[in-house]
Amino acid sequence: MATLTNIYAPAAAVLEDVIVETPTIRTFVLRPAEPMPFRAGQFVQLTLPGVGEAPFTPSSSPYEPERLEVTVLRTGRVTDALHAVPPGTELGLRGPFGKGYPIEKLHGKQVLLVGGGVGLAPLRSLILAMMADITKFQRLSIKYGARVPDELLYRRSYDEWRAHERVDLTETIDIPAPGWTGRVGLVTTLLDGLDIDIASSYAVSCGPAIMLKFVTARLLEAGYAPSQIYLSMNRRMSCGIGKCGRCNIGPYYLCKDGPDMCYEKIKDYPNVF
Amino acid sequence: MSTYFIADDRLPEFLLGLDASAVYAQTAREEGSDIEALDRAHPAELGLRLPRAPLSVKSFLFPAKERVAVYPSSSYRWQPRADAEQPLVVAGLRACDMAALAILDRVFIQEDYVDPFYSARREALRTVSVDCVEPAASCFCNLLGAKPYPQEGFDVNLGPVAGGYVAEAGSEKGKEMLLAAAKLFHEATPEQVAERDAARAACEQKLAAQNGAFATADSPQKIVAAAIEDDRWLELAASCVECGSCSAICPTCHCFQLYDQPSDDAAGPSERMKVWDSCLLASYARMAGVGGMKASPRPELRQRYANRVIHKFAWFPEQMGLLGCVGCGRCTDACLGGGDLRQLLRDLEPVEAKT
Repeated sequence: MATLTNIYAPAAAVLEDVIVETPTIRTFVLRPAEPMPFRAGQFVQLTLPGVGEAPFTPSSSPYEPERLEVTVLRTGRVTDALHAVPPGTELGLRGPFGKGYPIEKLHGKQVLLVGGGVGLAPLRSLILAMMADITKFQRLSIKYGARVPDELLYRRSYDEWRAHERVDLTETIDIPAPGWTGRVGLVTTLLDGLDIDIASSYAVSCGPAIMLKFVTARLLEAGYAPSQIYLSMNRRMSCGIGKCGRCNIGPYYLCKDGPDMCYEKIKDYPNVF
Repeated sequence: MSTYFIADDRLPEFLLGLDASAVYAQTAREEGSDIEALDRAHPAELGLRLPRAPLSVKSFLFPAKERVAVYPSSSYRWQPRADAEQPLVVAGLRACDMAALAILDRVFIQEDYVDPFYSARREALRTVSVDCVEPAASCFCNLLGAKPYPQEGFDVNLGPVAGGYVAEAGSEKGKEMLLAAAKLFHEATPEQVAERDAARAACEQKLAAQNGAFATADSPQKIVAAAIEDDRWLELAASCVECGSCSAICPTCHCFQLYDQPSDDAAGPSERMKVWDSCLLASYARMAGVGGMKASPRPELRQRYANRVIHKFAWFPEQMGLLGCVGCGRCTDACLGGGDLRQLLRDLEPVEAKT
């Protein structure tokens, strides 16, 4: 019998750089020992040796598989420890896992991306993939919300994104802040009076479960069909390969069938949000 | 299929003589039975005619805890030994174990990703299954349309008859096992085969009698599929104490968690462990978050309880094409809250369908 690959063992990846994005969010720039080709929306399991692994969707362009970025909110045991490691540290990677965003389906469409907080990270990979090939899409409209101005992710890139002819970006913050002159209100308020041809649109959203719930409701009200809505669902994932069981929504395992799910597929199962 | 006969007193010789690193077999113990290393038991303690043991085939392929990776900080080249398992014989497995084996194979080796640890042990496993002659009080395979005797998947199957067993090979491995011990067997007589078949029918009758009160008009699959959004799950889950015993003893429950730990030597490698987990436990699907904000898709016990049952009867079949429950009743024996899956299925059946 042939020796099988050990699907549970991480491959080496060196932490090249750490970018401080917000007080609670950092981007980790990783160089895998072997390039790790991935589709936007697929996820990896990132190992901090001796501490554990946690699932993240790369926030960098899928066209640069030799250099992966993951943007990490500090929110638990593994991510707390990750935030403390310096460049040069050897980490581990498994993956990529899942199906990723249905980018071919978005060709020729008016694409609406709705992000909340650190949920812009997976969407950034999609944004970069789309921008590399922007003429294939009719339009890319990005709606993004964070709690406070300090927590708006990738602010350094907004001007560059907006400079693309077919791209628009509107950001909002939840709570008024001194010096902030932009929009205030939940990200769902950016979905009022959408100037999008909904019939030829797909919406893709990523953010906390509670946000996804209200974004979905708002999109349905606006006239999107469930089949036009893709959600990056949040579930705990351990194995990444459809065996350990914990990431199910009904009969689907998000690690295999997602993590980006067409709302049409999951809407009738219990405990979706 | 050729049928052979082996006398009771030759069976230990057959089992212990098999080319294997270890031979496990069902043994009689004061309270019921167990599956133990045969070289540590007295041959007279073999208990293949007893009801199925609490221990299922799962533990031999998917241990409760195992190390699945070691990753030194200087290189990640270490690969665990996963392809050098020595043959292992387990005797006393039942039809429900063989059905569970098909389910575990589906999850761990017949998917896009192969679990190398399971695969190596599976390759090394030699199964000696046995027809049930006496069902346990909690057994209900018949309610799921299954038979109390293995029909496929085994290497060697034994059917208890007077003075011994009618033996059959179900695989190439099984044929080799019988051939290697040919001197211990002779051809079964037609009377012995008829006796075995009569014993099978008798066991089916016992199952039908003990489960008559739990019979449902519709199949359990249909009943559960229709009850996914039922508001009775709260009351049905009331006796569950969230101990997870049902998952641990279940031959098909395969959920696990990976966790990492540093080695004792600070400069040494880290280890990754794979341990059984249960979807009934609150921590199972809970996600990261600051204190008190750890989101879970199923924060309430009734949701987790329903998820476990629905997964076995509706979602696993949809995903994998196999019913996720084999009707062995071990969960009933293990349940600290006194739960009985048969009763649950009966309770879930719409009132108007009850006979």
